[in-house]
Amino acid sequence: MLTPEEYGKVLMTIGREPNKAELAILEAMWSEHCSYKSSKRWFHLFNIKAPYLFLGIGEGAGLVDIGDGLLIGLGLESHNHPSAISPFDGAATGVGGIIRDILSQGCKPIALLDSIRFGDLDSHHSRNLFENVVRGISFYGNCCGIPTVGGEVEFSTAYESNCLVNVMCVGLIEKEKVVRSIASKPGSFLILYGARTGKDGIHGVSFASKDLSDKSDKDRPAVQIGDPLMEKVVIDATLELVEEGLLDGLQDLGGGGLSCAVSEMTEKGNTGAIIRVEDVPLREKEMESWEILVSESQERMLAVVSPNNVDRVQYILDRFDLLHAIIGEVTDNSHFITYYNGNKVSDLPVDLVVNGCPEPERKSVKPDYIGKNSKINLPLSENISSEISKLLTSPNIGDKSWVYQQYDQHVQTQTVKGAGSDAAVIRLDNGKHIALSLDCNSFMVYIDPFNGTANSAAEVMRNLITMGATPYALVDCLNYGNPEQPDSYWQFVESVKGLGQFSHDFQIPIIGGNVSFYNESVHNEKRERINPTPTIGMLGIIENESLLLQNSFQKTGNHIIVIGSTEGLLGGSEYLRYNHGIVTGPIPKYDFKKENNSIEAIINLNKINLIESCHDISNGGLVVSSIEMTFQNKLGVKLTTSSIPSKTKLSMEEYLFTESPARYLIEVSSENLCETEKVLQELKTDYGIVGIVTEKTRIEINDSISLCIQELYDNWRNAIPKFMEE
Amino acid sequence: MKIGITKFPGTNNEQDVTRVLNCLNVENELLYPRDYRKLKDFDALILAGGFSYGDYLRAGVVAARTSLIDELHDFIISEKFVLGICNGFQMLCEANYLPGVLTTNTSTRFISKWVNIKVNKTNSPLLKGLESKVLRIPIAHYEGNYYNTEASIKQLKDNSQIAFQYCNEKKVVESMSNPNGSIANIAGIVNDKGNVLGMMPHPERSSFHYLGSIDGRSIFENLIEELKC
Repeated sequence: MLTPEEYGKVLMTIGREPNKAELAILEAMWSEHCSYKSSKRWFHLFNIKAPYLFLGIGEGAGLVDIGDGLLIGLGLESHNHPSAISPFDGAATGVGGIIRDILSQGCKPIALLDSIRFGDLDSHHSRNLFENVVRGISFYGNCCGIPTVGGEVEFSTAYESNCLVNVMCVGLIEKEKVVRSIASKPGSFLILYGARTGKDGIHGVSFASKDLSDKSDKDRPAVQIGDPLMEKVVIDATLELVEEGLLDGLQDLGGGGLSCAVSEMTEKGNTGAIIRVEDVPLREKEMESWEILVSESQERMLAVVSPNNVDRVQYILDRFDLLHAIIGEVTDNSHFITYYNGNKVSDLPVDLVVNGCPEPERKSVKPDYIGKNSKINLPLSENISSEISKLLTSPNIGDKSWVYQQYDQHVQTQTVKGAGSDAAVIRLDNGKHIALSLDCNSFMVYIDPFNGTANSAAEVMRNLITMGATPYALVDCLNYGNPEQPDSYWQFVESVKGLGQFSHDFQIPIIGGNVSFYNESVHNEKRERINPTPTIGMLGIIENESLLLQNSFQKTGNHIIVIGSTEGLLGGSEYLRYNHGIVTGPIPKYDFKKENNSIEAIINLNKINLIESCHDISNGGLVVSSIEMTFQNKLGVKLTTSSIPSKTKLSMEEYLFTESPARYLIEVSSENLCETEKVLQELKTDYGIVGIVTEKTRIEINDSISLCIQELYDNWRNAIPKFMEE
Repeated sequence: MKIGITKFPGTNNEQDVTRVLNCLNVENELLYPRDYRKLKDFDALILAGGFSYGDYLRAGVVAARTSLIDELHDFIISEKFVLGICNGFQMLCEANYLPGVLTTNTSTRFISKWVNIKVNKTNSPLLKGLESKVLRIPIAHYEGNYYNTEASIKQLKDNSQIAFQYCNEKKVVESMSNPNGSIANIAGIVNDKGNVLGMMPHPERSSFHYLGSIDGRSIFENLIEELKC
């Protein structure tokens, strides 16, 4: 529904009452999901520049130049509301949508990553959503022949009623073959190809632009149904059309359907279009014109084709047995006009449809809980050994192979490091490698949206650094509550500021993204809101193979060094949350200089091959990071906490469990220790030689703790299966 | 010498197989179902994996009813080599060129992971020199659970037609190493003549050092070697 203000704007602009079809178009295009009306006023805070940027925010994929005439495309999108109502189809079509976004620029999709969040696993509802979201992703992504190589899974009561499904797709294309989502030449034909248009997904964007409730189940028809076979054929055919250079413009039909694709492409090209609705191939009879215009049926693409290429395009589509139809032409009158059998159905100025939505006033008020971050009185526990054991049973820390073994990780035969590594590593045919990570620390963001978001982005970056990569570009998926609620909007604004700060500090361009509001719901008159969750997907480049790093201890007797000084703040840590049920307490502040110094240290040491293995210190703190490093090669570790670099002396719990940022664990051989220290001293890096890799498969800390790695491994390994395997 | 690689709507491994064959410098070409008349131009055929026709009805069953797979009958009779990988193995079973069926994994979930398979002694030249070796190789399937009657399994054993069995790192075939519930841990079989090999694991995904294993490459090398003869 348009607001009175929005309706007034329409009346004033077109000078008459809009008809039913026009209202449907405007309602879709002016929804929060399509118009970014509550969010785009803040995007100026983002760094969107880089010398190697090829195409920034605004089309299906952001594109960066990685040399050798190649571009990498990135896209990241949410499918939260549909997945909450219909987890299998919602997640499946979430995958499908982002693949077609990447395809819209002509890119070959080469990798998928998923960030998914649910309520705690002891809830039947959450287990059901989790099981079926993973099945949906598996069903769709696997069939499309794109490896799913990474992502994250997080469980918290904050997501019990509003699960999050964010999907990232990565594409590859030669620079001269890029296709833009623009209709710039009047007289070009608009060819719709792929699946037929049906009644599914009607008003999907409007459904995604309001809170969920007990009555949301009736919105099930707003959820689309996916057909991955059709998607695969659409991908194959599109890549052939791109290869032959036959397309002047291309956009997928996503949120807002045909209306969105036509109006956005013509707006960018300063053109207009006429559409003959009766020529759209339909799945079911008796669809009204307005339904056809806003249907969000999946697996459809709209191509702009010059008259002399039409025959060839049709020939190729026929060869793939793909349905196609010329449904209209590009015009020069700046109006988006539709006809049904010669009768005008709608006539709106393109500029009004795409840019006309008035920005609503949004109040931002700091929530009550902020600043009430009470001090944590340590120690919370005297038995550190049992705390460590318990922490490894947390599904947020435990092994995620139950999830990623359901995803085809190896198709396309370029996956050098898949899920389970700090970041995925994909080989390109030119010998370079790219690293990919998708992550968010929602607990830190909840406690302190500004610092939490910046730290969270830095954590994604650390995941790339530990693979030997240099950060190159990022995309975001900003998941928040209702923007009309001032405290929720405050979380969003602070968070965007944090991300903006990070992107400028590190000179990493933000090349695309998506905002998902209204992730809150009222159940039994109780309002539930997700933690503010700015999911960040980042691309890194590994210039040559020798820079690729291991994440596991390699050899007995090697030294273990902590890079970056440790702050004792436990706020937002998994230790407080999982072991003690506390999601409060001050979090470590974002510190660019410190973060950057640690990165410099790793990059410089790696350049001269001094690092045997490397892992970032994040979820679970130093103790979990070092235990994780022992698993693969069945080794042990001996640590001394007094050697951990920190400004002040900390307690045992702080040393072991804080997730304070800018820290890494590296493994260095005895012969390289001296040179390593020299490099670290020259860089003025805070570091400490905290232990050694042992043959005995135990973790020993000081002289007080000694735990069997196998038992910890079993805890870690079963953290998720114990809920999911009956 | 030219090897054909099938490309059905929905299959997605043909480019990966092409990559291996190109690397081994052997001429190859994609063969689409409507081009079935071209089949006779090839010296061997690889049925690449993926999700032919979406695997919507049952894995491989729709592809098995195409003219291309029908034409395979004479191709196989003439003792040309056919290698079916994953979805390709499913097609060969659905078309009765290999015995048995591939049904849903016991977990009822898709499984993508690295496994070990033991190579048994068979009369197939495609496995020459690999007997009793362990290959480290990825699987990726939803319907890879091999089933056949007890009598048929005995016959396969007696005829030395069980090509691969899931095993542990120490070459022991045991239930813990069985990822999908296959009878007798069967991961791949050959026909009685040894010119048709079907396997669920993906040799093309373990043919390059950067992928962590080149154990699968020998199968392609053996094929090329045989064609040279």
